[in-house]
Amino acid sequence: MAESAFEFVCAEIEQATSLNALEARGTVRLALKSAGVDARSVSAAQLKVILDKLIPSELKKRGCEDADNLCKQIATRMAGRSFEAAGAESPEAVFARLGGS
Amino acid sequence: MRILAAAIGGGAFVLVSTVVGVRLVALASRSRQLPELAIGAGLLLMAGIGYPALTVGLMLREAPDLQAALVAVSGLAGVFGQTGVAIFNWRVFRPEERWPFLVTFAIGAGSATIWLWQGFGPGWSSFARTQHGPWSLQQMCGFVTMSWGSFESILYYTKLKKRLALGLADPLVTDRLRLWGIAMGCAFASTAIAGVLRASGVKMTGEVTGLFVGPLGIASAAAMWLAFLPPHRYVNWVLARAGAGA
Repeated sequence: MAESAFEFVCAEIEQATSLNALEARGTVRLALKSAGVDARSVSAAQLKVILDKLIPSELKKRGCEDADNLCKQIATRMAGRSFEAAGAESPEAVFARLGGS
Repeated sequence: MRILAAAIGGGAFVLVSTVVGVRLVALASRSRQLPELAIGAGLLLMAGIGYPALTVGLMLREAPDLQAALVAVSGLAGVFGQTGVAIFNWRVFRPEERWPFLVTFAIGAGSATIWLWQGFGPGWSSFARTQHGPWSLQQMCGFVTMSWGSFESILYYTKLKKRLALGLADPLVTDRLRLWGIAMGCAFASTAIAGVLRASGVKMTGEVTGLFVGPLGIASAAAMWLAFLPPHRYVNWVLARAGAGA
């Protein structure tokens, strides 16, 4: 079964930093919460933006050196992979359709 | 003046809900998707059929049989309409959780049971004359569906606002969630105030309902219109505001 984009990013951060699995997941979850996104439904495209704009500052708070470069490398590796699709249709997608967007 | 306000507010809500309901049911016929069918049918049944049937029915004191029939039809439209809104709330906002299914089932089964209880018990003539009886309990279903819908929409809107700041959300869709939350919230407030007043023994005359049905009805109708049938000027304003905030 394909892994999710969230799982991939957490695993990459755990491997590349001194953070353990729980800390890595918690760091990413905090960034997702700031972005208004749930870990269960976050897409690869959304994570790419969050890797660029939010996760580096969270990693720096946890003593991670060169967080910006690390996040860029993870985003590059993500581009070459496919991830499991989100389950149910999001409320955003439904309301886009209801308004004819 | 207050009677006029009640008429305008109630009328605006009925008109807009009917137009939006028809549009969404038509969308459902093309998309074959449940959310638009559930909410479109819900709006049509509750506001397009139920509310007018109740309003006209309560005025027909000289024709008690027709009055009872109209009030019963209004009730039946309310049963299916509220269930449609509950199904929309469940399938759109909490499709993978169990408790929303139970709430939706309780609303549908509970409403239907209360409708039958009123009909086979005191009867619809009695309710039409006194506005008291088992059917009075049904407004609890309305409290739940509308407050639930409003809460979920506003909660999701707060998430989309954060995404919008990162360029991860559509400004119009974000605004639509906000407006739907307002529309449902105003409808809930109107129903809740009426319920509290009725429970306190206050007779629901136009003088009384005009105080809140008027402004809340207009606010709900306006929010719904802007959510689903926005004029170009409003669309441009939303997009410009999102661009300015970027």
